[in-house]
Amino acid sequence: MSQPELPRYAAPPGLRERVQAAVRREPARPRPSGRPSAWQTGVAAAAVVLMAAAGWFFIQRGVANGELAAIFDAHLRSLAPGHLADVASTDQHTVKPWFAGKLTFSPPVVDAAADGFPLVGGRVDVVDGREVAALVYSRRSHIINLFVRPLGGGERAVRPGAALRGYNVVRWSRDGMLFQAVSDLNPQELALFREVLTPK
Amino acid sequence: MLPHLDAAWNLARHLARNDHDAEDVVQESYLRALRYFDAFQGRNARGWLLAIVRHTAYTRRRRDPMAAITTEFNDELHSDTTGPAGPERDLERRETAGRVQRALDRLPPRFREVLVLRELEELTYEEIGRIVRVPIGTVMSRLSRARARFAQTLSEEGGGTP
Repeated sequence: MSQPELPRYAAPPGLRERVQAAVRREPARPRPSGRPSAWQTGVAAAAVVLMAAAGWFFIQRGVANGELAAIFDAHLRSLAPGHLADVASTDQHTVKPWFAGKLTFSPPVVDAAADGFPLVGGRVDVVDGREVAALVYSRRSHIINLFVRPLGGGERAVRPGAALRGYNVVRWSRDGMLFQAVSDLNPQELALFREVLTPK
Repeated sequence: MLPHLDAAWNLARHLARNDHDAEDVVQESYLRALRYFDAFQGRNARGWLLAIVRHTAYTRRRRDPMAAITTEFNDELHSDTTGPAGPERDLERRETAGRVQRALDRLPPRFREVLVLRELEELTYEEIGRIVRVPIGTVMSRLSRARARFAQTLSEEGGGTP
């Protein structure tokens, strides 16, 4: 992508104060009579709640998005010639032991060939500064990278799905592990992939 | 005490294409946000606010024919990049930034807004679709057309100015 960076405008100095002043002036005016102060208090309280929620939402989202972007990058990287798999095998009993000694956790490896998602291989990758197991599956001519890592303390699986530049991601967690599958496969089949890997 | 002011300003400035109108849009948007706070369902404050900013920017354009004229005039202003001369590299960078800016300003608003929301605000297709009020498929196709148009306009800009 050689697209140049788009300019982002920073709010000019004094804007915040001017808008705030306008906002403060506003509510008093259209109120004909009654108890404007109570109404204003209500608005102020609501605004505080909104901002706290927005701030929290923002932070949560920021964290999740950093890793999400890294996942897309890792997926694209893996598609470069010779980068897909360090252990190329369709046998889960070859792939799983291969990870031992390379990672501090043991990712569950399932071959889903019977359901149309044959295992291609695996590799160790670094995503967003963390070591992850990358399991590679295929579906017709599509490649699926399944990134597996242990969930951190207090971490929850956020935002089950996302899309970026034609690629889709589904996320789920199970037994303390976070699973993130990314592919150019359509969202429906990617959801099916998740179901196949997480039998009830 | 104003959430998402930077995001609101960025979108307003890109749509209005000058500081003065952008400030009016932002101010009006926050007043509306406060007034219609009841309608907010509490899921995505930034998306909700950006939808208001967008709506405000477009209704202002329709309401005020002078605004459209001023904007056209400012377009011409934009293409004049004589600024304070600095070291050559600095100048070059500023020229590139100016070129990018002019190319972006020249795009139709429907392309400009999806590029800004996607590339700068990093919203998801779904969030953009809700703000612009089109289905996700339309967001995707519009984005790719916007990128193509932008690249084309940019290369024209590059050939035209020294």
